[in-house]
Amino acid sequence: MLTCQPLVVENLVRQFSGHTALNGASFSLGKGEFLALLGPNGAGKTTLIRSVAGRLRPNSGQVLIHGQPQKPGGNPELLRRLGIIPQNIAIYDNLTARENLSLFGRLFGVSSSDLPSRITEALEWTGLNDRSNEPVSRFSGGMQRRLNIACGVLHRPDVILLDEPTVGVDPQSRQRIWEMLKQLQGQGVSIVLTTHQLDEAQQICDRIVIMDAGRTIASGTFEQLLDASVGRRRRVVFTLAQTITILPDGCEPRDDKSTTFFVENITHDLPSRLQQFTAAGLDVVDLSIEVPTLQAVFLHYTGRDLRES
Amino acid sequence: MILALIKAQCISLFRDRMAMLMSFALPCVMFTVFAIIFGNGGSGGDGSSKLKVIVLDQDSTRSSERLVDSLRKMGNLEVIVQNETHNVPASEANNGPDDSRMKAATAVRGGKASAAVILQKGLEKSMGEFGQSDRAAIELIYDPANPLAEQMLSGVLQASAFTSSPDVLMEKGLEQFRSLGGPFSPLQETATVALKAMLGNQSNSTASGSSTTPSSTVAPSDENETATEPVSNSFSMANGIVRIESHSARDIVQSADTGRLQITPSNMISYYAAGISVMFVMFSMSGAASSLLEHEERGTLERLLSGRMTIAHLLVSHWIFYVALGVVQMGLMFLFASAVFGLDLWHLETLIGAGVMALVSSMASAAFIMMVATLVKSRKQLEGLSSLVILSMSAIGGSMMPRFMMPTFLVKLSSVTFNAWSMDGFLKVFWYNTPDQSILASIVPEVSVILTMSALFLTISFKAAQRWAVR
Repeated sequence: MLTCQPLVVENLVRQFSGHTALNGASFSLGKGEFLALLGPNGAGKTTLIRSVAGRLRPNSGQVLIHGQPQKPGGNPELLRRLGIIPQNIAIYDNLTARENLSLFGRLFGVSSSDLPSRITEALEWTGLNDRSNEPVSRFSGGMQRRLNIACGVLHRPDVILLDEPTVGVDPQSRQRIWEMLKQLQGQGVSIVLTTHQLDEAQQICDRIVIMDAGRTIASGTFEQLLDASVGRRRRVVFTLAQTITILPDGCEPRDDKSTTFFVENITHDLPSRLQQFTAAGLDVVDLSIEVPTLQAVFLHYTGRDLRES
Repeated sequence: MILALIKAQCISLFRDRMAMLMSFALPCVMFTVFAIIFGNGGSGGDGSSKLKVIVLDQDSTRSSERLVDSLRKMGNLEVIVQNETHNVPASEANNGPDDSRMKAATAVRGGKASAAVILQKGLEKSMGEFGQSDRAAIELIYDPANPLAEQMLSGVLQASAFTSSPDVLMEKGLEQFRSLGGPFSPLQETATVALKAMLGNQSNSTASGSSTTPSSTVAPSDENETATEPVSNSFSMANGIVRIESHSARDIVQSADTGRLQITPSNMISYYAAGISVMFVMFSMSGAASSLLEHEERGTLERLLSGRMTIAHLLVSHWIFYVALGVVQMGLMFLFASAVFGLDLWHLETLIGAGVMALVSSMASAAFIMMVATLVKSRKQLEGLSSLVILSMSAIGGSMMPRFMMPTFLVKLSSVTFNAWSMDGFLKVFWYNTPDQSILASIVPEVSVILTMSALFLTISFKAAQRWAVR
C-alpha cells in the first residue's frame, strides 16, 4: 500500500514569483530505505525537503508521512516522526555539544526522563564523548556536522531528511557520517539525503531519485538506472606504442596513441579485441577498464551543461 | 596592488547600500540632531522651549506690577500669575505656612513649572538698596533639575527690576543725594519732577510692551555675574538692584512634609542614572537582538521552526530574555549609582517605583529592538540602523541632555519616543517625588504610555516576523 509507506511525495508544485522551483516532483520512500535525492544546482532538492518538512506551502500536490498529509507549518502528529537535518550547521556554537543536544532534545519533545540517556547515546554515536563539554565553536567542521545530525535525530524520528550532510568535511569525517547513517538505517529508520558525493551515494544508498528543473526525471536502484541509461557495458581504453593511423571497427581515437571502445562481457570480448589490434600491427602497451558510474548516469539524465545561471 | 585593494573596497562599499547609508547619512543625521539640540536649530532661539514661571505678587505696588508685566513680555518665559489672597509680611513669607507659596513650590517640585517668583511685600521700598537690605525682596523657588532656569531667572529679574522702575530708582538716588548734599533748589526740584514723569512714562511703555526686552539683550551682564557665583539654598544677590533669595522647591516642600520620604539629592546623579541606563539598555539589547537574525543566517531558525516551535514562541522567548537582561542591567546601574554616587534608592516606594519603571522600560526597549530586528534583513543592517535609531532617540528623548534645554518642537517630537516617557517616569521616581501623590500613582501616565508603545512594537514585530513563517 502506497499510503503506508513512510514518505510519499505526489506531484509537488511550488512557484516563487514566476519561477517554478518544483514542477510535479514525486517519489516514495520505503521503510528502512536509504534514498539519495540527486540533482544539479537549482533542481529543487532543498525546496522539496522544505516542503516535506512543512516549511513551504506547495501550490499543488501533497506529502504523506506514514499515510498522513503533511501540513504547512508542520503536522503536530508527525513532528515526532520526522527529523530534519539542514544543510547549514544549525547549532549554537557558543554552547557545548551536551548543551546543544539538551536544547534540541527539549525543543523536539524528548521527555526530561529520557533526555540524559539520549544525550549519552548521541555523544557516543557521534564520537564526541571526550569533547562533550567544550563549546562547539572549538570543534572541527566534521565534528560540528556530526553534532548537527545528532541534534536532528535525538527525538528518534523514523523518517530523516538530510540536506547535504557531508558538505565541506574531510574524508574521515565523511566516512564516519555515512557509518552513523547506516546505523540509523539498521534500526529501521528511513532516510532521504541530498548530496553531490555521487560515488558515495552510489555505494551507500539503496535507491536513487534524480531531479532536474523541479521534476523527478529518474528513479530506481543504481543498476536499474544503469540499465535505463548508459547500460552496464564497460569502457576499455588501450594505450598503443604507435601513433594511430588506422583502427579496428567500433573503436574511437581518444588521442594520438590511445583509443576507446565498449565491451559487454570482459571475459569474452576483451581477448578478441586484443587479437584484432595485434593483427593490425598495433602494440597495446597499457589498458584500463572504466566501470559505469552514477556520475555517468547523472550526466546522461541531466546533460553536461553548467547550471549556475 | 594597494590601489587594486582600495578599488575592491570601494566597490564593496558602493554595492552595500546600508553600509553607504551608515557611512554617509548617519553622521549627517547625528550632526543634525545635535545641531538642533545644542545649536537651537540655527533659528536664533525662536523655537526654544519656554520656561514656565509662576509669579506671586505679594507687594501689589506699581513697581511689582510693572515687573510682572515686564516678565510677561519676555519671549522665553511663560508667566502664570497666581492670585495672592493674603498679604503676608516679607519676613514671614520665607518661613511661615503660606499656602500660595507652598502651592507654587509644590508645582515646581512636581515639574509643573520650572520656577516660582514671589514678589514679596516691601519690594518697591527695597528697590535701589542694591541688596543692602536685610529683607529679601524677591524669592526665587527653583527646580534643581533645571539649574539653568534658576540662573537665567535671577538675571532676568534683576534686569527687569532695573528697566521697569527707573523712576523709583531715581527717587532713591535723589533721596541719597539730598541726605548727603542738602535740599534741592526750586529749579532742581522742577527738573527732577519732570525727569521722574518722563522715566515713569518710559517704564510704563516698556512694561506694556512697546519696546521688547528679550532676555538675550537684557540679561548678559547679570547672567554672567550670577553664573560665576555659587548658588546655594539661601543665596543673596548682594550686587543686584533688588535682593533675591533662591530656594530649592524640594527643600521647601520637604520641610513642610516631614512625614514623607526624605529624598535628598539635588544633583544630576538621578537624572543621568535614568538617562544612561535607558540608552545603554537599548544598546545592549540591539546586540542581543542580532541573535534573532543570526538564527536566520545560520539556519537554526529553519530548524527550530520545523519542530514544535512557532514564530510566537520564538519572539516571546527572545522578548522575555531581553526584558530580563534590561531589568538586570538597569538594576545593576542603579546599585552602582547608589553605591558610588549616592543615588537615593533605599526607600520602599522608590525601589518599587524604580523596579516598575525598569520593567516597563525594558519591555518597551526589548519590543522596540525586536521590531527593528524583524524589519531589517541582516545583522549588518541591524547594527547600522540600531546605532542610528538609538543615538537619535537617546538625544531626542533626553538621555544625553535634559529636554528642557531643547527647542519646543523637539520636546514635542520626543513624546513619540518611549525613552522620553521612560526618562519622565524615572525622574518622577528619583527626583520629583511629589508629596501630594504617591510615586506609583504619579508614574501611571508614563507606565501606561510605555506599555501601549510596547504592545505596538510587539505587534509590528509579529507582523514583520511572518516572513519567517511558512510561505
